[in-house]
Amino acid sequence: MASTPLRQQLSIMRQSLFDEGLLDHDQVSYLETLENEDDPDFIKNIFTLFLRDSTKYIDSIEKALETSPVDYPIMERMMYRLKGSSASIGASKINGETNTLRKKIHDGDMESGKASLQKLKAEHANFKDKLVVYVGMLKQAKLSEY
Amino acid sequence: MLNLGYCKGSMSTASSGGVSDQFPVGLRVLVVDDDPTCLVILEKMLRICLYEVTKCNRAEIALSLLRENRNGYDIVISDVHMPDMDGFKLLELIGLEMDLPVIMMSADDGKNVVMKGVTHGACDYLIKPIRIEALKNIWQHVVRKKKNECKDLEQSGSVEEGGDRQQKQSEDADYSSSANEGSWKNSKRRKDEEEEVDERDDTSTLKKPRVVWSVELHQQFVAAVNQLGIDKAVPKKILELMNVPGLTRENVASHLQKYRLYLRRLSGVSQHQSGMGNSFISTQEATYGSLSSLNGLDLQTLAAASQIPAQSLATLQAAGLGRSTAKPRMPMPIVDQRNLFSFENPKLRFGEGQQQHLNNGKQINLLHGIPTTMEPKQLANMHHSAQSLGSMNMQLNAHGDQSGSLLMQMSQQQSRGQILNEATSSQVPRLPSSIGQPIVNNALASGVLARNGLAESGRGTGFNPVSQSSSTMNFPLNTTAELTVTSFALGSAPGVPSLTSKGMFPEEINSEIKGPGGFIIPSYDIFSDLQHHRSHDWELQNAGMTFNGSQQSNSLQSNVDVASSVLDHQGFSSSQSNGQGRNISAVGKPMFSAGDAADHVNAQSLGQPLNNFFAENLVRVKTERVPDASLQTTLFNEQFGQEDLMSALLKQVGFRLY
Repeated sequence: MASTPLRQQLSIMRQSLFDEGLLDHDQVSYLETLENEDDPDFIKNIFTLFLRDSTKYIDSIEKALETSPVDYPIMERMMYRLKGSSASIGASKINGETNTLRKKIHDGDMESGKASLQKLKAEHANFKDKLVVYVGMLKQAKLSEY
Repeated sequence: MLNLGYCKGSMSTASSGGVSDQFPVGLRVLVVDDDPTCLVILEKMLRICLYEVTKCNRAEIALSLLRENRNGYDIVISDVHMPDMDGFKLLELIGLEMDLPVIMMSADDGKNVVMKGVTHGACDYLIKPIRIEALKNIWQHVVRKKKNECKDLEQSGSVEEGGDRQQKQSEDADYSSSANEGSWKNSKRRKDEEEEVDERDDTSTLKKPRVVWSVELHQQFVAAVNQLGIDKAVPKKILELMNVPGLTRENVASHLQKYRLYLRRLSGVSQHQSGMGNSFISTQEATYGSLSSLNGLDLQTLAAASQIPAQSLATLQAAGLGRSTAKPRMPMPIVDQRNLFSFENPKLRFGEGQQQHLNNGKQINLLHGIPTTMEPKQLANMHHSAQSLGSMNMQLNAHGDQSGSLLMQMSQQQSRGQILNEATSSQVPRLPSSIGQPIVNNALASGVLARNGLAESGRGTGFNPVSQSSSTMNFPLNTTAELTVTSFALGSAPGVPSLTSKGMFPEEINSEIKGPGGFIIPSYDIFSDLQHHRSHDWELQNAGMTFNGSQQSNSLQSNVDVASSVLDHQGFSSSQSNGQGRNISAVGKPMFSAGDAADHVNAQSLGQPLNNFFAENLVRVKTERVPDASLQTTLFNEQFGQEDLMSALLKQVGFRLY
C-alpha cells in the first residue's frame, strides 16, 4: 500500500497505542491478519463494538456497586464480559484494571474495589478517546483507498 | 437414537451441507457468547476456517436453535457465563438432548472452572483470547463423537445385519478420515449411505437420523428399564418391552447409554454433594428436583418409603403447598423422614430403587394431584426427565410397583439439571431435605438461577428466593415451565412472541399428560424472583431478549412434542405466523387457568401480577409474532436467526440423514 500521509499518521497512532500499553501489539497484529478483502471493516467493527459495550459494562458495574445491597451477580457478569472482550481485542490496560477490580471484589474489599473501579473508568475513558480517533482514521484511510 | 446411516451421514456432509468432500470445511458450528465483541471475533475466525457459523448471544436461543433443527449443527462452542443460563447447564442439556460435542470457553482460566468443563462433559475448554489455531482442529471432536457413537451401536448389536456391515465401513472410514481429510472417505461413505438408506427404509420406518424421544417414548423407555432393572436393562429387551413400531435397537441403545451416563452422574454428584455415602440420600438428592415439584415432600416420601401412608403424604403435600414461607422449615421434617425412610427402605438405592413399592393406590392419587408440578420443570429442563416424569404419572396407575422407581428416576433426571445449578450455586438445593427449595428444578433452575447470576457469583443470593417461589409453583403442568421462566425473565415483551408459536404444545401435552392449567405457572415464580434482577438484565440484554424469548418457547415446546410432531416443529421457524395464531389462544387459556390453580398452591402468590404480566406478554406476542426476523436481529446486523432457521429448515427437509 502506498504510504500516504494518512497512512503514515495511522501507523504512528497505532504504534503509540502500543507504546502506551493501551493495546497489545501481538493481539492486535493477530486480529489484523484476520481481516481480509471480504471483510475490510473487521478491525473497525470490533473496536467499535468494544467501545460501545465496554462503556455499558462499566456503567453497569458502577451501578451495581452503588446499589445496596451490592448487586454481585450483575457486577460479576459485567466484569467477566469486560475481561473477555478486552482480552480479545488486546485492550491490555483495561484488561489489567478489570482483573484488579475483580480480585478486589472477590476478596470482598469494597472500598478498594470502588477505588479500582474509578481507575478502570479513567483508563477506559482515556482508551476510548484514543481509540475513537484511531477508528476514525481507519475509516478515512479506507475511504481514501477507493 | 442414531440411524446407522447417521454415522456416515454425519461425516459426509454432502447430504446435509454439500461440502463433505472437503471436510472439515462446512462444519456447522453454533457459537454462543453474550459479549458481542467476542462473538464477532469468533465468528470471523470460524469463517476463516471455512466453517459454517451460527452465532447467538443467549443460551436459550442456542437451545431453541438446536432443538428446532436437531441435525443442523455439528458442534457447539459456548461461553461459560451467560445471563440466562449457566454454560455448564447448557452443556449438559445439549449433551442430553442433541448429543453434540460442546466446547466451553471462558475468560477465566481458573482450574476449577476448567475442571467443571471436564466433569460436565465438555470436549474441550478454550481460554480467551482465542486464537484461530484452537479452532482449526475442533472438527476432531465431531469425528470422535461420531466414531464413539457408531462403535457403541455396533457393540450393542444390531437388528439389521446389513446396517452393521455398513456401519463398520463407515467407522473405518472415520478412522482414516481423521488422519487425512480425505474425500475418498466421503464419497465412499456417501455411497454406503445411499445403500444404507435404502436398506433402512425397508427395515425401519424411521428415516430420521435421530429419533426424537418424546415424552411417551421416554416414559415407555424408563418403564422398561425399571422393569428390567437398570443394571440388567439391555437394549434388546428394552426394545421388546417398549414395543414401539419403528424404534430400532440402536435407538434404544444410544438412548440407554445417555440415560446411564446421566444417572451415573446424578448419583456420583449427589453423593459428593451430600457427603453421605448413603445411596438413599443420593437418590433423594437426585430427586430433589422432582421433589420440589411435588412440593418436594411428596416425592421424597414416596420415593423414600413405600410405606408412607396416604395421609402423611397428603399432609406433606398440604404442607408443601402452604409452604411458601415455610420453606426453611420444610427441610427439617423431610430430613427426618428421609432418615427414617432410609432405614426402613434400604432398597432405595439408586439401582435397586426401581423396584420399590409404594402405596400405590393412595400415593398414586396423591401424585396425580400434584404430578403436574413435576412435569413442567422436567420437561422444560430436560427432555428426558420430562418424559420420565410424565411416564411416572401415567404409569403410576399402570405399574404400581414402578411408581416409586419412576419417581426416583424422574427426580433423578430432573436433578440432573439441578446438579448443574447446584454446582454453580450454593449447596442449598442439593439436600433432599430442602426439597421445597430445589428449585425450580429444571425450568426454573436453568432460567432463574442463571439469571440470578448463580453461575457467576456462586453466592446463591438469587437462588434462594427463586427456589422458594418456584418450588411452590412447580406443580402445574408441564413443559413450558422453563419456557415461561426464561421468557418472562427476559422479557418482557418481545421475547414472548415465539412463545405463542409453541404454545400449542402445552395444550397437547396437557391433554396427554395431565391436566389443566397452563404452563405459565412456573413463570410466576421466576418472575417474582427475577424482579430485582430484571432491570439489570433487561437494560443490557434488551436486544437479545426478544429473540431469546421467542426461541425459548420454541425450544421448550419442541422438547415436549410427540415424536410425530417433531418435524412440524422443526419446520416451525418457517411457518411461525400460522402456528402462532393458534398457539396464542392455547397459551392464553392455560395461563389463566394455571393462575387460578396457582393461587392456592403458591402461598407466595406472585400469581396475579405475573398472570397479568404474562397475559400482557402473550397478547403482545401475538401482535409481534410476525416480524420475527426483525426481532431476531436485535444485536447483530446479520439476521442470523432468520437465515439459520431457514437454512436449518431447508436442511431439515432436504437432508434428513443428517
